[in-house]
Amino acid sequence: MFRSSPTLFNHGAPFLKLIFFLLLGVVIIFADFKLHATEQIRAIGNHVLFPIQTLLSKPGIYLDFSSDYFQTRSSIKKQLEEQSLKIDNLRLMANQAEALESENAHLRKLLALQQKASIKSLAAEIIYNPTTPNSQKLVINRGAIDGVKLGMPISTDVGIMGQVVRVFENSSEVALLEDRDFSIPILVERNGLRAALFGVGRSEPLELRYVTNLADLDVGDHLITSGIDGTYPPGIPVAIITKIDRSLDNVGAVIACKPIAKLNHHRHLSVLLYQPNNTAPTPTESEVVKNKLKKRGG
Amino acid sequence: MQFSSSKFSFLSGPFFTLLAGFILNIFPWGSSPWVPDFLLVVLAFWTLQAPEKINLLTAFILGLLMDIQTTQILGVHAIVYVCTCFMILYAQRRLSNTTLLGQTFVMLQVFLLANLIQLFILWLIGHGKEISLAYLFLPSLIEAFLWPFLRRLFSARFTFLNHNQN
Repeated sequence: MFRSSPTLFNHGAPFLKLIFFLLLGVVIIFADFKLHATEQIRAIGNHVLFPIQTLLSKPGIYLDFSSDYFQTRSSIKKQLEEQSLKIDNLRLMANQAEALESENAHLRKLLALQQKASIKSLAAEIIYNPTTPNSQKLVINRGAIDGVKLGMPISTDVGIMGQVVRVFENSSEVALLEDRDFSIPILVERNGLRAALFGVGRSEPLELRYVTNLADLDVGDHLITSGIDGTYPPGIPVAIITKIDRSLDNVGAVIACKPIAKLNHHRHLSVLLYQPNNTAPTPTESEVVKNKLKKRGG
Repeated sequence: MQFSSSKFSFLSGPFFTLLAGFILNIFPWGSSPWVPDFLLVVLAFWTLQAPEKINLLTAFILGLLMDIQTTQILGVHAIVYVCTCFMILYAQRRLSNTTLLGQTFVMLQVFLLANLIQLFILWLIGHGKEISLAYLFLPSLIEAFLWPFLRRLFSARFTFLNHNQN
């Protein structure tokens, strides 16, 4: 027998402990899912886990100082990486310029536009993508220290990839376009139609919702960010329409889209440090509370 | 149980093997249904072999860490691990005396139940729509497949350290 000696007074399974931990688990799930009140637990856990994560994501860097060969090689590699990142950023800007040119011509005539916010970007590396059956997320190696803030858009060289949904000190979590409940305001590049694009869930095509049957849309139309919400800078490619199903009832068209950025193919991406110079008044907290009370009352 | 004074025997103790399981889980596997939960298997093994060393609190804390790691809603893995631990503790005496094959089949059921609990929690929360059943069967099968290897690997350590020809 290799198993350890059985305890003498072991009266079987601990039912009370099970019930206690199940209740605790349910409370924590509720606190996290409904109240979003567990950020501190997460921050503490992340402090514990971060060394392991970085150690695993860069197995090579601890060997580098041992020999000259490795040093030169790594420095060259680093330079290459930096330059490819630079090229990525330039490409992104070029893409944006194209989209903006077509838009500017007829917009500038109409009104004096407020000055566009310039976009600075921060290169980031994917540490890992976690395995969960219910969400599509990434963890990147930039956090609050580097200036990442909640809600900042993430892009590759070709288009929007997702959004920062949780920020830690040294890392942050990114929800991909395909993640459920993900939404982004878009503009059809061809004719300027505004709509909202929604993520459906794992490996399902994105959905363009709340569009009427008669809307002027075609398969192959490019969708770009509209910048209306102030979260995303305007004019960055997001998706292409792949399928339009115009139903006969009044529900509206069912439109499937494919993200332009390859969500599972990149190792480097850039965080757009986008600070919109939007001066529209935001509702104060008391107003929000009042509205909620009104809704409940009515 | 008498441990010999081998210098590296602590490496095969619960702490380091659980850490190894956790590190295997952290590996950048990508998000496919084929990826098993290594930590769950190691935890199940130690619950069966050394129930006095592993209790439900250990399982709960490991589960919380896994939730933070996988960006899951906090508490999902914790509940799954606690339930798994409990199931094994419930049948611990009988299970540790059965043959390897029989044990593997029972563990398959335990892992199936564990994954079912996870999917059930996600379904209750409202995230269940897009989850395919592959996330129930594939990880459980692979975890059960890992079980005999893990038991051989870890139990070899016991016989080696005790100089027993078992």
